[in-house]
Amino acid sequence: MYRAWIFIGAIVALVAAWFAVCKILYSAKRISANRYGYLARVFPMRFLKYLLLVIAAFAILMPFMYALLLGFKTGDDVFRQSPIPEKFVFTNYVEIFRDGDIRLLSGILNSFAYALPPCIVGVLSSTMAAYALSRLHFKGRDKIFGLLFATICIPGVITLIPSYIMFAKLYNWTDTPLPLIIPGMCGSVTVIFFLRQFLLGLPRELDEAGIIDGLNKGGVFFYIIMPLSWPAMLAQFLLAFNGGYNDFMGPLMYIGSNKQLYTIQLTVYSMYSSNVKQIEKVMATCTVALIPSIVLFAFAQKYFLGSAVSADSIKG
Amino acid sequence: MAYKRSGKLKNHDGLWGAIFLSPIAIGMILFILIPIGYAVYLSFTRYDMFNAPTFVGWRNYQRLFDISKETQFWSSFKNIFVFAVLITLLNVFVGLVIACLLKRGGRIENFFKVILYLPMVCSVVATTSIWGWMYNSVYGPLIGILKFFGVERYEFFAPSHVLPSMLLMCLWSGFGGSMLLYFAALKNIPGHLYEAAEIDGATPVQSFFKITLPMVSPTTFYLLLTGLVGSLQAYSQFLAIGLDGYTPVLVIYKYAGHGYGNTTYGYSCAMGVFYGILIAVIAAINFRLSKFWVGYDV
Repeated sequence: MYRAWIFIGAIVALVAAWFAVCKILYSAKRISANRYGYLARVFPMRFLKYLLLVIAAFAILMPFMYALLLGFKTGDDVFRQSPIPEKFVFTNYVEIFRDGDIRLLSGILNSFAYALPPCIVGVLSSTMAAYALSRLHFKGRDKIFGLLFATICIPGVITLIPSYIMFAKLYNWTDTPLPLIIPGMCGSVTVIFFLRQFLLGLPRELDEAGIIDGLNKGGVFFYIIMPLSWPAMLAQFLLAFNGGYNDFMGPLMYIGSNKQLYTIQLTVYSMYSSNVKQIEKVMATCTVALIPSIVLFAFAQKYFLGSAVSADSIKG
Repeated sequence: MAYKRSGKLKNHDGLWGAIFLSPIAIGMILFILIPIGYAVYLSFTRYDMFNAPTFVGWRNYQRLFDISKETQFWSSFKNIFVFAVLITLLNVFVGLVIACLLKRGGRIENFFKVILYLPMVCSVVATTSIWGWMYNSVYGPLIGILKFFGVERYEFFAPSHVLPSMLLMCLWSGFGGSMLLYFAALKNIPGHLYEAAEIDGATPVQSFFKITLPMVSPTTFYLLLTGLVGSLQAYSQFLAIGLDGYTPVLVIYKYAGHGYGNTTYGYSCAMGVFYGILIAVIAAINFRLSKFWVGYDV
């Protein structure tokens, strides 16, 4: 315990010394009032701000660094407390791809295969619905939108078990990835909500110009609205793809019994929950599993960070 | 196109609307409405996937509300309630503090914003597995940090320590969302409000409480509502880290069992229906209360 107290005491002493020196210099007229204000007020606040941010960033990055480093360790080295490997070995990262039991590569490919179709088709059907709900005029349109919006409030826990039973008994979709793919193709209400906000911002004159030039409302959508809204669609597609890639409960429920169909998330889960002894391999797998998300985020952070829902939009 | 007698433009919007809305309508009916109806129906039956469901009336619900016997569900209920309230408040608080630090929006701030948002895009299973090993009470790095502060032994998953461990992990992975929303909300506060406050002699602390907090109250409301509803249904972190049956969703999942020959599907549907209705009621109460403290206009 004494070490911690020394640590805290040293910091307090350092801060006190800083303010004391500033004060003494100021009262001895060695620095101007202006400079004193900067040194004793502005600078400490700014320093504190960046210190907090650096600590937060370090805390956020630490688990990633830790997993990456542990992946480079050998079997015995894992049980040393220091995260730095005694000797960097790449065998873990090679072996998880080679091991026929882990099937890492097929896991990654499966994840992509299950995540892509619902995203592509789902974003298209969501855009269609958003177009109908924002730019077409028919009776009961706003009621339909209200109804759709209300379904967001339905907690998913109600449908968890009955959907499973339905997919298993009614549709006979056990041990196929279809329950992960088909529902997503119908679109999602949150995506409709975002895209509707976007489409409401496009000028009406575009539709009118299209109508005058002889398009019907379907043509207006496919030739005018869709080409204009691709940035919003792309953002939603990327978010949905990342969500599908990271999905865990869906694959666990529907394909949890068939190793050939495993997604990468299930691979990580089955490795972590069964084979804790080879922790260096688990960490290597985790690192590999995180790479697609991180790469996607790095290249498309504009879309990820820009698509935050503004709370104004839920104004009743 | 032709004008009807009423003078309204006749068009085919209704037809196109029906075509464009059909995918989401089919999805809603097939994958949300029918399962809900099915859940309500099954919750009154005894069902084992092989034989047709047999109607048992309210027996499933009676069994659920027999609090002395059904300890698993109700203890998980208590767990998740404490967890959900605390994690929602923590996320909102930390998100607001960090968003205030990032408010200037320069290049350095944006760099930090990207880093701090990173856990939000990462797979829950992978990050939870990493945290699971970091929480190892012999070899993990966190016990090393605790040892520096003089704590020699600490079991991160002992029953009394589970909650803070999970809170820390979920805060790590979850505050990015509230940070981002608060950041957007802070950007939207007009600067002249702060200038006026400064001319009137307000301290930074005063202008934070009198301007910033009221101006971001819609965001706070949105975050509290979605955070509470979302974290009451949390399960993946708990399942991935090996805390089976710690939250109600996992208990429901457990009762539905894995594999056939299990007769508790009806019972787990009853649990799901009860818990879902409870969450919807909490959300509705939240909505009602919001008008007392959320201000939507400048």
